[in-house]
Amino acid sequence: MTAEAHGHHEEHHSSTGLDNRKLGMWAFLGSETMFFGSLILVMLINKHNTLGGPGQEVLDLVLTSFTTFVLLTSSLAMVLSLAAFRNGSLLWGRIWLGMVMLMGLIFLGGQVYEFTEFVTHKHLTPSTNLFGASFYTLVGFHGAHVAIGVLWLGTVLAYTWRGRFQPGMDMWGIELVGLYWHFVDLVWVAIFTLIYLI
Amino acid sequence: MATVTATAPDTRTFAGTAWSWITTVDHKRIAVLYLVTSLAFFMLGGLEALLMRLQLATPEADVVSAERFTELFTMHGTTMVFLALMPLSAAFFNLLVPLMIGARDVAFPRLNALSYWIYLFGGIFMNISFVAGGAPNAGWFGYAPLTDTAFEATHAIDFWAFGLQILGVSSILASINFIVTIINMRAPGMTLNRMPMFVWMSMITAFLIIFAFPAITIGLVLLIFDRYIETSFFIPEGGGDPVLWQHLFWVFGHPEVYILILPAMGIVSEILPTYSRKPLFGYAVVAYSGAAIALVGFGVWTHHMFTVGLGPIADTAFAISTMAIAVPTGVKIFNWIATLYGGSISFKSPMLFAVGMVAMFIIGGLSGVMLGSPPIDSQVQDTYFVVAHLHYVLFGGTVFGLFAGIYHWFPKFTGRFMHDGWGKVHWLLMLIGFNLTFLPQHMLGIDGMPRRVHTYAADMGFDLWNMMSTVGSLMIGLSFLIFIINALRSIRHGEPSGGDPWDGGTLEWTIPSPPPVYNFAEIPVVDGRYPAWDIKRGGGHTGAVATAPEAGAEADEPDIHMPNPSYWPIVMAAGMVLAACGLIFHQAFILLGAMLFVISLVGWIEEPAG
Amino acid sequence: MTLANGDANRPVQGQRSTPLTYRRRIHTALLIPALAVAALAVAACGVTPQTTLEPTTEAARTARDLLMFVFWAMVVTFVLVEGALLYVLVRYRRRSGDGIPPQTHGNTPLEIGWTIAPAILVVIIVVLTVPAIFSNARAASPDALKVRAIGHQWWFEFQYPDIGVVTANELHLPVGRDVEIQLESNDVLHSFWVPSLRGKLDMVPGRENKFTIKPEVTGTFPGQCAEFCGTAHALMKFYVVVETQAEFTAWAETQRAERVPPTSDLARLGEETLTLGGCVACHTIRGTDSAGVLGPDLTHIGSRQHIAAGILENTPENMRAWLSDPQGVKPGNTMVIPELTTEQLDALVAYMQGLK
Repeated sequence: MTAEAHGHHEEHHSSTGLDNRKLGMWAFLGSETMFFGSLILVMLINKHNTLGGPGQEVLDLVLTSFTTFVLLTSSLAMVLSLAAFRNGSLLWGRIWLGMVMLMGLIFLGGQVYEFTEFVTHKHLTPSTNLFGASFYTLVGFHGAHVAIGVLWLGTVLAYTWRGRFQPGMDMWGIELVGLYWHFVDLVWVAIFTLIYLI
Repeated sequence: MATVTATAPDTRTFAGTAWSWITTVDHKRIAVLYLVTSLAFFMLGGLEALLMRLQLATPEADVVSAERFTELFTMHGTTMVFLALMPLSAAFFNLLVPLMIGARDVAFPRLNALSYWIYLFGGIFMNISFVAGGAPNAGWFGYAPLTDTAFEATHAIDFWAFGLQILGVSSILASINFIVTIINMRAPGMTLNRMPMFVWMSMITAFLIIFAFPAITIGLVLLIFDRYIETSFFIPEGGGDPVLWQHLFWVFGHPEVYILILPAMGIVSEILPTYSRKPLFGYAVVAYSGAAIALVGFGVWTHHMFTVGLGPIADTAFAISTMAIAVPTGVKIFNWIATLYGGSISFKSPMLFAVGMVAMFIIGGLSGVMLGSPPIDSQVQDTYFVVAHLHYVLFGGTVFGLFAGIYHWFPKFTGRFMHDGWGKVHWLLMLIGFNLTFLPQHMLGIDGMPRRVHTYAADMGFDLWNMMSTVGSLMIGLSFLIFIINALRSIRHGEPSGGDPWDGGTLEWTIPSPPPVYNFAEIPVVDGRYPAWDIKRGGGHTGAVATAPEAGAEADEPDIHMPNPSYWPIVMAAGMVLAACGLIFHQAFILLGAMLFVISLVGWIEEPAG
Repeated sequence: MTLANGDANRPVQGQRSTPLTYRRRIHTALLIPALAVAALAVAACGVTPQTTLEPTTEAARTARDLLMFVFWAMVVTFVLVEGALLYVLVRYRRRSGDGIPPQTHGNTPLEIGWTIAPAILVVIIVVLTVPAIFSNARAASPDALKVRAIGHQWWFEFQYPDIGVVTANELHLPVGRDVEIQLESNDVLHSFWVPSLRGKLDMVPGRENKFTIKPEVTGTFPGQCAEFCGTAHALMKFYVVVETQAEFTAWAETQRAERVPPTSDLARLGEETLTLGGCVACHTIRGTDSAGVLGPDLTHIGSRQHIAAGILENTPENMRAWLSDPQGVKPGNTMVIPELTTEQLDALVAYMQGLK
């Protein structure tokens, strides 16, 4: 969206005291909840639909537990980054933001490894059976969300060198990507619990 | 940020005018774009319907081929739902929501423009299919596995699936925009409890859209995967289940019915009070019943699937929830009648359409109760009885309601009246034509005529009803023609209306017509449900509404900051639709579309703030 | 109209008066705004063989009775509500000199009242509906005749696993005995619908639906696919022949047998043409080389009243028209027939007609 001036202009009219963009993000995430909800339901319906082929047993709990831990930790880093920016510490804000990106990339790396492993060694592709199709669809869409999040974080980080989010300014841009990032984490908790653990 | 003078359209040249429309972020101009586009698609969908009616006028006719007929009913349904009625409602959201809540624009003006352009390009994209190898032909709810490559190897279904995805993006973005606008941009004093009923219904509709559309998005994603990467989500041979598609579709599809009807209900809830000079009766109950309809509307979807064989327990549960919806719907109608009771009712054409909406929607609601009972449904499901029912709801309800809105707010859009006499002719012809078309279809269904048949035998006893229906549909067509001529003529030659021609009660009638770019010279302060009435009548409330004074407005143009025009929305929309073309025509388009998308995204973010 | 309800085989003429009365009433009442036209119409379309209003089984009767009850409840509601609307519109029309009318905002007892009123009506309908749902889903008695009905694009296959009969587009059922019909599909969704026997139930690929009915009246009843299934959906029809147990047994006996060997030279040429014409690839005619399974079993095609899935009467002329241009008769249909000489065509028709 546009610059801070615009934001102040709109806040002037805000009926709830919330920033328009944050409210919009909440509405978007509400929609996303239904999106992932539907995907998770499809996955649960097809969880044991393997046609005798590879199924839930191919999932690597150790690796995924680790990447899950990394992703959850990244949410903490996101909180710390926002706090740092708010406290006027541009340096620590940037460092934590970079950490979030790094952890997101580690998670994605784990997923790429997992997918490759499944396709090459476990012979599970989207067309193998519906367990595979639903798994790749759900986890793939989540992965795409993480990837978009990393790109977005990178953009926000770059803008800290272009005069945005300086001490004393409105931190809406960081709050927005933070909301999104926490949501994507939360979705992963649901996926990990329902698909991997149970 | 620029001043008003900088954004004023340079109408001296054609190119300047066109450019000003292409780059506009003004909600009122976007409303006009939505209105014109959706009426064009309405005409297209209507022509498709007329072709079908001509084919069915007589038994074993040969007006169109069986193949063409399947395309016609698929595209008629898809066009009317997604390209005509939803965007026509969006035109009203755009025009009215900011004006009614006392705002200068929507929360995200550029996003608003983006929604429109995606809709326009998506609609064109879907209709290109007619000349690109065959239009979608599996019905507007595209039941699997008929949509699989095994049964439709051409791109017909791909046009439909990608087209709906594109339109879904447009709807969700627009809805987020209006949710934020309504929640966050109300004028001081405009509490939820004082919002005009149309704004209430707009907000509920927007919430329905953001929560209902993801289900069909997922359904379409799975369908596209089935078609493109050989998964078998809906294909029994691969372990899939065609019924899953039906669930995903109707979890969206039933709320979609309320998405189509609630805005019309909102319009009627504004018009009835205006022309009877009485506030809406039972305001809170009407608002809450709208919310109740929306909420329960998420729990009734399998009444579209009573004949699928889900078992008596599921059928019972969903019959009960379906019946339950009749209660809040009935309550709305009773409150409308109570609004008229004791009023001073003036029968201008907007009022006639609004009353027509109430009268016709009642019939659709009553036949809906019949369909809600599974044993009855088992006989008339997938027959012309259902066709009649859904048209009484969506034509008798939505179309009548939206036309009421067009006649009522036309002066607000243009500053001129539509011709009232011709408006009444339009109304009478449409009312008679509509009933002549769809009443007999109830009988056709009960007498055993399935829907979606391109022909019927002469010895089935269907002839007369079908002929009546066709005659009626031609009358509807004629009435629409009268409307178009009236509208086009009235834009230039209509009688000037002034700012408040109907003695309206809501905020939009306190400003000039057409409204200035900034809407309100001074943001009004509201302390009642009908602030304009309060000012004019001086009673009840203190009437602290600030209006844009019509006198001297030209001389002293206030310096109000409005958002800049932007061409990035149209570029981004073009990028998205080009990428979809790439999945059908040539991969190069994907690359091109993605490039446009990225460029416009960067441009969007970088756009100078003024 | 000789197809269905006028069928001379139907003995229980006396019972038909009630449904017909009902139908006249619904015809008239549905068209309140166009009464004059309706009167004309009732006269004009007296014969509607596929109507839902002339049930011949318990299941169809239940649906009809419920339909009529709810219909009349809705008519009463319609008259009351539209009447109130019209009254208010006329009574409170604006007159010259009207000022601002009294401003009423709401009335809580009224709101409660008109919330409860529709609720009561709806509860009554639900109370009547639920037993009907469960009775429609009743289980078959142990001695029920079992039938598998399989939907194909665009024809119906009927198998009687217990008595070894396979046929198409003409379902024979004995009167007065439970029949359990299991619905399947070979390709896309179809729906099995014979209005006078029962409401429709879908044929879903990968699922098995079933329902039980007990035909009470002999006769021939038309049915039609009721779920859009592609181009020729409108031309996917079938007939149910309800007959006495003795007639049914005799019919089954005939159907179980191999084909009747051709007796004339022309018909013998017809049987040879089966291979030449490629018929053998898709159709089964037991007793010949024809053993394909994609199309309908034709072993006793000559005994059926209709051909091409219930859309043409089974006459030599229609058979000839069908064989010379299957796509013209039924668009989208996949039957492929090479160019045949007039003689070959005559031979095929003669042969098919002989397959009683």
